[in-house]
Order: sequence, then structure tokens, then C-alpha cells
Amino acid sequence: MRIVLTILTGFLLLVLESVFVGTFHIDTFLPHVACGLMIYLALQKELFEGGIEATLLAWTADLLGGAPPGVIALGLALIFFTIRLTAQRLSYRSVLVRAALSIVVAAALQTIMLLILLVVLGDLSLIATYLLAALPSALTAPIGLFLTWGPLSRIDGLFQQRHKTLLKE
Amino acid sequence: MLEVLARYRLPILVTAMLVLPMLTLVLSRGNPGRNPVDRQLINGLGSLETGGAMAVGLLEDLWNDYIALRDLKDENERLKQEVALLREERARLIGVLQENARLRRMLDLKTDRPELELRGARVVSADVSPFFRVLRIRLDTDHVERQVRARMAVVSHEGVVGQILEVYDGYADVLLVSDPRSQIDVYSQRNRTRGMIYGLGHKRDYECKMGYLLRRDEVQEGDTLVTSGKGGIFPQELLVGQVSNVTRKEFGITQEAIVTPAVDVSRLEEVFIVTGKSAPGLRP
Repeated sequence: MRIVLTILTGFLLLVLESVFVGTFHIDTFLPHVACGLMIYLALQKELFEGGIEATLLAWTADLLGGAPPGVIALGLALIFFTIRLTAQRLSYRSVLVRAALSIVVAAALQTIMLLILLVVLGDLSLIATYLLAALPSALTAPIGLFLTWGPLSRIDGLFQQRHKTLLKE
Repeated sequence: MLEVLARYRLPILVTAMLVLPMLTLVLSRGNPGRNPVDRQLINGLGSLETGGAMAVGLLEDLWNDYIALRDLKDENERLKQEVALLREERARLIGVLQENARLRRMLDLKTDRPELELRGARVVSADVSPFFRVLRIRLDTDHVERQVRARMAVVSHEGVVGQILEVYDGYADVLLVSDPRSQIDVYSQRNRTRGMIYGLGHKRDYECKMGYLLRRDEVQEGDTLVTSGKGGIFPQELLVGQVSNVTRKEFGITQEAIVTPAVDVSRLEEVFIVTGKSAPGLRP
């Protein structure tokens, strides 16, 4: 139930991001909800559960992204595993550190996408887009993290509370 | 079998997460379309996006019509109500007038180019990646949906918007002129200089580049560019944009020009899909 609720919430946030970007023409500074989701799932979830949720949400982001199929899903999967691996050595407990992490993650995602696209499309003019728009857009990634972290941690809290109560009984 | 799956669940997950997208990416290199499962999912997402867009629209109306006027209410309740009512009425009338003007201009396109078979569609959402310029449009009826296919031209009363990238049940993705994957063969209206326009993918603007121009080709700022009709997607003489800057290097046999598209995509609400041309043998 928790997995379903987490996926549905992530799904809804991704769709809302797509609608808001379309309605208000927020072109340059995107909230990067998908990055926020990957950070939460990598840091707060058990690997298998987080992995399943991350896979489904990465593919949803891929379907909404307008990119060639698989580009965004692959980028997000790489990000999920990188955070997971680095979390064993680095502490991501502070809110400020997590906000900084979201900027790094969004910038990394844009870089991964650029590299994949350079290989697939071979268009060097994409580097200008990367430097002028994609990379600066990472600065607003903490918004996406804030939007995702709150609802998802509430869902987890709800189920943990329930679990504790059941144990007491 | 289940025991094996349970034992190796992590390696299976890691493989699925990394290999599946890589495989999709490699397989889609020759065929950029989505697979049937993706298409069904996109169809479902499209409905959600439409619902979301309507909900956001309602919230926006609510904010504009009521909440933003709350301060005035404190000053004078009666006047506030009157003002609110008048503003609501006015906003609605302006909306209707703007829509009317927009539709009238769209109708002008139908009158100006009677040979084109045009089908209307409404813009639903935009992509969320800084690298691409794609719009999702809603195809309102089954009748329209059956006629729309990938690589059909999408236009508005201002000019060329882009081309259909893919059609899902009830929705279609439009590859905008400013997307780096888009290429359009054009002529300069002034002297018929021919070139190719391709998108720059900038998120700050919708600018494009005109390439394949020989150094001797005469191109200057302000030149109006129209489709050449070559390539089979866009019918001839559709407005694409205006040259805003020309770059000639000191050496080399070619030159480049920056082009501002004729269509302001950020304000686009309705578009036309060119589903055919009445003259036989000239179908786009």
C-alpha cells in the first residue's frame, strides 16, 4: 500500500509539474521534481523498494520529458544509484546539504542527458543550450526536492506510525 | 523459480533499471517512435494532464476573480461586490473577445489557403526538459484522430508551429520548429535564397538557425522565410520566421543566420494540423 501511494504521489507531482510548466511557461527554471523524487527514494527507502518506485517514476518522467525514449529514465536510474552509493560515505541529514545535493543532482542529470544526446544526435549546438539553460535550471532544483520530500515523508510517517501501533496492540 | 527471483532480486532490479532504458535508447535510434505500452501510458498521462490543466485553470480563475480582490472588499463591501462582478464579467468578455479574435485569425488561414485540409487541436502541456521543444495537443474527436499521423505539419494563423512527432489515443506530440531535431527547408521571400532551418533548443527563446547557406547567398536581417514545400511535410509558402542576425566568418564557404520563428509558441492555445492538400499529388 505504501509503495502504491508513494508511486501515485510521485506520478501526480510529475504530471502537475508538466501542467504548470505548460500553463505558466516556466521555461528556464524548472523545479526538477524527478530529481527530488530520486533523492528521496535513494536516501529514505530500502534499496529494493526504492528501486522499484524509482524505476516506475523514472519512466513516467521519461514519458513526460519529450526526449528520445529512455534518455531521462537512464539518467535518473544512474542518479538513483550514485546517491545510494555516496550516501554510505556522506551524510545527507541536513536540509541545506540535501538542497545542495538536489542542485548537483539536477546539474548531473542535465550533463548525463547532454552526453547521451551528443552521442545519439551528434549536434554540438546542444552544448550552448546546456550552458545557457539546462545547467542554470539546476539552481531551482531545491524547490522540486521541497515539493517531493514533504508529501513522501508524510506517507512514510503514516505507515510507520501505523506499524508501531499494530506492534503495541 | 520464485526463490531464485527472491535471491537475485537486487541484481535483477539494478539490471532492469540501467539496461532497459539503455536498450530502449539504442533501439529507438533508428525508429524514434514509442512502443505500444508507452503509447497507452502516454494516453493515460494525457488525460491526467488535461484534468490538471483544467484544475489549474479553475484555480487561476478563482485567484483572479476573487482572492486577488479581497483588499478592496475590506474598503467597501458593496463596491467590492460590484467591482468583482464587473471585473468577472469584463474578464470573461475579454476572454471571449480574445478567443473570438484568435479563432477569426485561424479562420483567415482557412480562407487564405483553401487547398489545405486543416484540423483544429488544443494545446494541453509542454515538455519539462530544457533540451527539447515539444508541445502536447489534444485531438478533440475520433474523426480528427484518425486523420492525424506522425510528420504532419502543424500551423497557426501566425505560421509554422512544427510537425507531429507522435500520435497517441486522443493526443499528439508536436515537435516545435525550435527543437534541435526539427529541420525545415525554406526560401527567403525576398530573393528565393534557399536554406535549412533547424532548432537551437534554447529554453530562453525559440530561436532557430538557418544553415546550408552558401557564402554568396544574399541573406540579410529582416528577410522573411517561408517553407519551400520540399521534404514533403510542410506545404509551400507557409511563414516560418524572420532573419534576426547573419554571421559571416572571415573564411569558409558557408554562412549562418539566426531566425526568430513567426509563431509565439508561449501564447499558443489552438493549432491546426495540415492533414492533406486538395490538389492531387501534392499531399504533405
